[in-house]
Amino acid sequence: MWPALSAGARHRILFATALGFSDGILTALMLAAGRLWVGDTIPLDLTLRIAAAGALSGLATLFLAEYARLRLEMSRAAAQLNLATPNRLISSALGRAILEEATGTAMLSALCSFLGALIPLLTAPLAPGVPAVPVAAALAALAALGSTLGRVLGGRLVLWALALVGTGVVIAAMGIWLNVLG
Amino acid sequence: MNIRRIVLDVDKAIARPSLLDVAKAIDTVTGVEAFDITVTEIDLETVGTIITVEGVDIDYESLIQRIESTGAMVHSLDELVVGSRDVAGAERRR
Repeated sequence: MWPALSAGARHRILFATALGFSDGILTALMLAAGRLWVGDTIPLDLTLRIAAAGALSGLATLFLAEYARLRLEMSRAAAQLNLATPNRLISSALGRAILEEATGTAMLSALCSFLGALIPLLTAPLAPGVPAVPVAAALAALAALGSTLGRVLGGRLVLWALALVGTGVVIAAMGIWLNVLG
Repeated sequence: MNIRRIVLDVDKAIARPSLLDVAKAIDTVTGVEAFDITVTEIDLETVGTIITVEGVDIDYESLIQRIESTGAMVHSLDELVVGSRDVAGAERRR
């Protein structure tokens, strides 16, 4: 699997993809489940705005978190290398590398978040008035993501799928209760 | 001054740069014909290496700059051979 990529790159792609898709699906469920559950469909422009909002906030927060984590890694490495400050490492090729890594991870995650959010929102118009369809589509996507993670991580596929589906059910229930879109 | 061989003590963090990154940087230095990177110790977060570089009229300043530009750190110059022929190094005595 992914033979041309380094182990580090594979880990980053897996992390960004899993985070993005799960974040997108769950955010869309949280925001829209209240309306979807009564059989409403979400207009296309609102669908795109919900997906974009989740993706953009995810982009910013993941970039900040990832860049801070990598800078901390540089600081620890500098201390281990007996450097007074991490500035020498940051001004080397590593500084650009961690910036590109944080940016790439955040952008991939945001793209996956956008696509993930579309799953429940765009399936609602396929069966208007049938509230179970978009929620079931979201849960099926979470199950697929969970089983993929289980396989890649060498875990138990069914447990991973059930864990993500369970999370989706809880989030959907909270979304119905909160009814954010009214 | 015709530098023919340089032995450097170079440390780097475990995660990055990779040895290949360091090798690519050394390979671009003027005068370098061949080199060896040997890992001498690994601890929790750092890797210690000895880098032996051979060639003709090696650009020492450029070599150090290129290695450190990758994020690896040159700790010390442990051996330097200069001149028109190779010279066997003396055994270290204490």
